[in-house]
Amino acid sequence: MPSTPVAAPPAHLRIDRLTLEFGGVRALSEVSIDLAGGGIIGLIGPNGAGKTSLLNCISGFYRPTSGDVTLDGRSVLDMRRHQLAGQGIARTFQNLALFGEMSVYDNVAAGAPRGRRRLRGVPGLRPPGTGAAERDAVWAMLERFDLVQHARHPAHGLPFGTLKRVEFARALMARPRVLLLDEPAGGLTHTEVDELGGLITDVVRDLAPVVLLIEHHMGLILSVCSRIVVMDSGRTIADGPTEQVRHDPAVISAYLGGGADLAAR
Amino acid sequence: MTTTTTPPAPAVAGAPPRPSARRLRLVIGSTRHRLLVLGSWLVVALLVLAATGLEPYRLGQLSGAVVIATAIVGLNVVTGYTGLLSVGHSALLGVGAYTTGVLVVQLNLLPLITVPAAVLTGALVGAFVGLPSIRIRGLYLAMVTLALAVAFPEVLRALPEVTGGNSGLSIPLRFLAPPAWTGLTLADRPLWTFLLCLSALLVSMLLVWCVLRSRLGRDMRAVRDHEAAAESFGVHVARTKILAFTISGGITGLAGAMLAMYVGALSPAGSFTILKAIELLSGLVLGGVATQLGPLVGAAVVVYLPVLLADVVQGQGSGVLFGALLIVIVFVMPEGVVGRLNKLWRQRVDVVPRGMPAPVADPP
Ligand SMILES: Nc1ncnc2c1ncn2[C@@H]1O[C@H](COP(=O)(O)OP(=O)(O)O)[C@@H](O)[C@H]1O
Ligand SMILES: [Mg+2]
Repeated sequence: MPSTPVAAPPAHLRIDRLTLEFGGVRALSEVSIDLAGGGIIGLIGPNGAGKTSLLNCISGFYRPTSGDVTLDGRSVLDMRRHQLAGQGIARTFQNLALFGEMSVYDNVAAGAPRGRRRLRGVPGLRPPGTGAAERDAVWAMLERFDLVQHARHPAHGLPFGTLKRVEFARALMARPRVLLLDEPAGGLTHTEVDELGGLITDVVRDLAPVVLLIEHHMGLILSVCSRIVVMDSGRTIADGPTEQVRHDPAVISAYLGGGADLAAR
Repeated sequence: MTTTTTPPAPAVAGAPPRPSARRLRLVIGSTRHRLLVLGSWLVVALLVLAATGLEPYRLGQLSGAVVIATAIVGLNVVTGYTGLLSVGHSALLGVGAYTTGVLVVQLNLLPLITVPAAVLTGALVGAFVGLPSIRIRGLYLAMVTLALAVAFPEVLRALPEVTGGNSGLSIPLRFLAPPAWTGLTLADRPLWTFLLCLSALLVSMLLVWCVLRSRLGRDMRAVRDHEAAAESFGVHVARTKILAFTISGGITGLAGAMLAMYVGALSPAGSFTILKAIELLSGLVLGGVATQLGPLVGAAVVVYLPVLLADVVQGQGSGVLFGALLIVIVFVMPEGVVGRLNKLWRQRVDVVPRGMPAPVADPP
């Protein structure tokens, strides 16, 4: 990946008193997080805390009951789901959401930014060079994620760890300004998690997106995040710099049931 | 160009690809690849040449198969590549056929001139069928196509002044004769019809090939495989589905125009009931869903197998045997004939696409 210097200021994502109800169940109550300044923000909390629901609201999968999500001051809740990619929002899914019959190459290529040219790729109709430029970008991404040898294989049938990398590569192809990662380390081996940490920090250096990282793997959270938001039962119970949150007694008691320091996980 | 040879080894279906060193390496754009493509086209040209020498009856039968293949190519766009089950393609075929039939019989236009109109009406009705995908998804869209298939023959019967009602339309022979500029005589009509149908098939296949290489083609497959993920990577799902139905309708309408020229007589009960839609679907599944050559094989099976069986078994028995054979084929090759052949090809040949970085040497 060419690490072009990014001139634009980081995206400003703001979650403002977001409430989400399913029938009687409150998945989110009045969640407010201001992601000004960017960087990698860890989002942690026990299962059922509402982390995925929050991500689904930002990426247009759930419609919140009240509250707002803004990107650079504009509400993203008014946008249709397919328009969010154009705004620079890309995500991965907790349970993989790949295009099973399509090759790994096509899965990653599907993440590429979309111009107006729907017929791009048709011989004779594409502007010279555009096809080759995208192709080279896809191969470079596949190489970076060690996916070249799987490029022509359909996504279904590949090992879980490989598919997690495909999802991450697809999200990065979009050169996102906001990157939402839902448990990217879930189901990975120790070495794979270490590699993932390296990849995430590389991405931030190259593309400078705002990263919202949901993860149970505390080692990963503590090594890459500058800030941590802790959720429990649909509320944020702590939000601050990593060093501060990891020693917060309220967090330790809620998240770990008391006792150990977060670092011990 | 690097070349290695393959030792003959028994291929096991579904086995993982063998290490690349033992497969034939085929680099896209290489001399070897170009020669292979050229060779394939040469074989196709020779087959066509051989077909033109068939006796008129056999040639007519082949034209029928070519028309069915074209319709299946159209069906493949929505059902194969976009994953939307359509049982309404009998109606789209009928729309194309009746556009040609009505324009020729009522307005005395030359059939060839009516072909663009048949494509257009097919595409428009296709788009109309796809329109509900703005609001509804899944099997409900299939229900819309079902409604179309059931309603179409009734609509024909309800408009007897235009469509000839129950007795249908018959195109006078003078309209179906080869035009003078071809140098063919009326006796050469089977050859003329065959060449027309074949051109329509080739144009349709070329169109689909182009669509598949474009972003629209990738969007269609993404919608099929994971609608929500496609949407969150910027695919306008409803628009993609409507476009798929439009292209599919246009191709199937073209097949209908060819059908009108080939049979010369149209009626509601003839080729445009839901049974035809099921025949097209069977052909698609047998040949291989979402494969580019599957429609050819599928059409050959649904057109020729019943004929062959009728020679062997008399009466009702042949229909039963046909059904049983279809079930056996699907059971043995769930991915279809061409789907299976593609699998075997990939096990033996390592196709290297353009721009692929050279692999790091494999550890021994
Ligand atoms: N589609 C849904 N329908 C009903 N309840 C839901 C839905 N999605 C999430 N929930 C509920 O919202 C709460 C938060 O879930 P989730 O956001 O998945 O938590 P987390 O990702 O933190 O584990 C849970 O109680 C869950 O049952
Ligand atoms: Mg979750």
